[in-house]
Amino acid sequence: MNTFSFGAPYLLALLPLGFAYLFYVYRKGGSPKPVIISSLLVLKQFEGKPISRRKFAPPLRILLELLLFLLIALGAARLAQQGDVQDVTLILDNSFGTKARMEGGKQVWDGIKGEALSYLSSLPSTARVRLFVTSPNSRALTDRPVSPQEASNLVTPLESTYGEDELELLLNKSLQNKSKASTVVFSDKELAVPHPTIQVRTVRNPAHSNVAIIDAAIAQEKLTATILTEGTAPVKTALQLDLFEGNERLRVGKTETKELELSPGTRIVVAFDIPKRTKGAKLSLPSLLPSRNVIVEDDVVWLNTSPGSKEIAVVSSTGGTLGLEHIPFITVRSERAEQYSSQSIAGGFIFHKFVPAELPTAPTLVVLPPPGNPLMPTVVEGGDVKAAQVTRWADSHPITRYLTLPSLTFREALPLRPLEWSKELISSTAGPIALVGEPSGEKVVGLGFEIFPFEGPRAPTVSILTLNIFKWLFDTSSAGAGIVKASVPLKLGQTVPKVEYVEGNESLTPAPDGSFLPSHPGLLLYKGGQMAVQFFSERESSLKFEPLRLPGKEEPAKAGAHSQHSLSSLLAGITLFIILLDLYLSWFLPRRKRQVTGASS
Amino acid sequence: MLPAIFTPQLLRKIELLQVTSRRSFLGHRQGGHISPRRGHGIEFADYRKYEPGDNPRHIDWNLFGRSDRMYVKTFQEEQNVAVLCVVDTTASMFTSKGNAKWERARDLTLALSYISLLQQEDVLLCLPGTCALKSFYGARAVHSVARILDEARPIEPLQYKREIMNAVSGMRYPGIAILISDLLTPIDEVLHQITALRSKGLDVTVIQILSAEDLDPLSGEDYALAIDSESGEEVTVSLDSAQREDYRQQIMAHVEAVASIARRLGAAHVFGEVEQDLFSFLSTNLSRAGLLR
Repeated sequence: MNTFSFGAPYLLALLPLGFAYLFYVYRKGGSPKPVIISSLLVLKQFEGKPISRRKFAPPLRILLELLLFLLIALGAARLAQQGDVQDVTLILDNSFGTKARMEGGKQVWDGIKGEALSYLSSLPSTARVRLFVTSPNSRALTDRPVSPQEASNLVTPLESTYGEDELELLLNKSLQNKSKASTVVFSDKELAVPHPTIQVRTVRNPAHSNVAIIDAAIAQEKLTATILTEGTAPVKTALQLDLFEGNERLRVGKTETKELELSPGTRIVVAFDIPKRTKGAKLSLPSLLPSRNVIVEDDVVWLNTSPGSKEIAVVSSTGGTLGLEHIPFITVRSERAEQYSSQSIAGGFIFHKFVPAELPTAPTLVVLPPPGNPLMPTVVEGGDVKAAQVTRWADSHPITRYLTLPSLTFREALPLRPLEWSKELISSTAGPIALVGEPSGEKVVGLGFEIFPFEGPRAPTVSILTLNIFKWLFDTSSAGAGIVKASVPLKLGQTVPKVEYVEGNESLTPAPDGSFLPSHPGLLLYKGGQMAVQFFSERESSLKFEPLRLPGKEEPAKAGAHSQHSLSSLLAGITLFIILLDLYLSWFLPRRKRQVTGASS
Repeated sequence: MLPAIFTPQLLRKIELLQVTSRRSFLGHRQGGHISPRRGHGIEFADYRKYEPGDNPRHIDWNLFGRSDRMYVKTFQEEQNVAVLCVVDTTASMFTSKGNAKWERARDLTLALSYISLLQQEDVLLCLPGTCALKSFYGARAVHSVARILDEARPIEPLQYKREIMNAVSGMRYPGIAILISDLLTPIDEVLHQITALRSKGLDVTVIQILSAEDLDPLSGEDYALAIDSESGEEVTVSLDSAQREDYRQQIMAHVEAVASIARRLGAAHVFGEVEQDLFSFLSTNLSRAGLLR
């Protein structure tokens, strides 16, 4: 239904004032039109005010003036038409934060979905809707605008996910598109400053009480967890650690509990000693009151210590682990180049002076690829490997962090030829010597210089570079090997037909490309290994909502308004038309008539 | 170059008209007006006794046969007259739409000059405040008159009486004076102007022209700031239909007052509106006033 609203309704108060002023001016006589006449000899005797205005008999013209004033006032009050939106973009925030419970036990996401469905049902059937969700990875649910009914059908089965939202990014992209579509966002967040074309409908729990495990890691038989507490009152709880042992169905081993008293607004780190035989672990906060803990899903974390899936395969022509066994947080195994096949499974691959026929579906480091290979071609002049001094490097990349590369000179360097998917990481006097990229969704680093054997503190620059590469490639930052994020597709290779959660007898179905999508945290078992799926996000677990900030000029808009079409330009057009018409009728036409009359006489 | 209104047809019609004077004036060359001077002519004036030296051909021999006395016939000589055209070029003449009032004054001046020049009269043109008195003779001189009138521009208010006195004093022979103006000035000033013309015994004809704007000054406006074209004085004026009629009556009363003064001073007064056809005005209004026939 078409309704109208005003952006600045207080300006409508000008209307009665304006009408009163027009009335007053008219009664007063207004400014008389100056007319040059031959002589005032006789006319001087007729000095005075017009009689007709004393009794207010307005001519037709005053109605025109009133109409013009009305149009100008409506334009100034920013009259806008609502409800007849033909083109609407709906963004649904289904990120992890929307799992927060509201009063009555329902999730914020249920409220968001209900609001969205209600909004869709209020749209006319002729409206065209584009539908986006924010997580995992902001994406469109419709490849073309659909009817409100079709959009409702798409919204109904949606669920909140284990993922962070990219709402600001999505809105910024939407603004950059300069689409005329009005955008309605359903989220637990709100805009810092109202925007004229983006309307955010906020659904959230006003309570700010939550306890969450925001980080956990296993390192050298020690498990540490960071717990964040939000709210206004201290919370007493217990942190429970369940350990899994053995390789077959991972029977539950030891359980350990630590009593905690958590002050609001703090984070604490809790450490457990774990036995070496531990294969997997589950950390949970089982005894929290719902009123003190609005998000239940961030109370559980799974960790994996099994090397089966995340061990790094070092493939070289000579064999050996190249000194990498000294790095505590990774597990390496060695393979000779002739033993390697595309069926090999590992958490990552390091190819030393060897390149396979095709890149594996795992993070890969290629060091000194042999000349002539098609996957990582080299630039070799005269077949010699040249010494090279570093000239330029991408200092914003995580791999080059903490490094002072200009001091580095390589006695042997093999310049690499940049590929379509690659980015130049380090350049030298001989050419590019380090490339990074993600050719098919997996991280790949190519190095044209030797970093092995890993010598630790004896070669600090190269060692830091190596550790940075491992950190970036194998995601070894906190949790160790064998851990992936929920809602991120899991590529385990073509030989893995089935993946099961340890708890709940739930199995995952492979996607057409062979990947698995773990929808929630847990410990996954598959042939040849195990994988802990977890999700930490301090931003999503925190209920201190940061308002969304949008770039560009932001104008205050009516909160809670429908998508609006500003009628200012239409009103300006009508006003201009009336003024021109008046000009034509009252000035141009009479003048033309007089000219014609004069010519004919 | 004559204005476009002077088509060959109009000129042919105008050529049939003649400027007349209600009195006879001494001229300085042969012309079309009967002069008080006795001499050679067509019109018989009187007999007088023959005096030695008279041409024997002028002796009326029939009378000599009847009375045995010698008398000679005398005739009234026909001489030219000077025609002084005083054309008002004050700003009030230029205020009407398309300068209609000024154009009518210009056309009348040209038409009267053309008729006079065709009659071998001397035409003297006076545009007060703009140029000295100019004298024209011969039909072709009408183009010079036209050029001067064409170059005329509104002048500042001036001592009109003095300007007219200067023009009159420049006339070597008395004759006809034609004052063309809207005469929207106080009656005293009108009196001074006509008196100045009459002071040298001229046969004065006052042609008062008013435009539609003079008769209905705020056409289309019932409320306006009226600005005097000459003095710049401003007056806020409102006119309803009754007041308009009142105004028109007062304007016509002013015209009548001007006519009355003209009559009192022995001058002819002709009133005309700009909208009236030019030839109709010449042949009707001016003929009735005795300026043309």
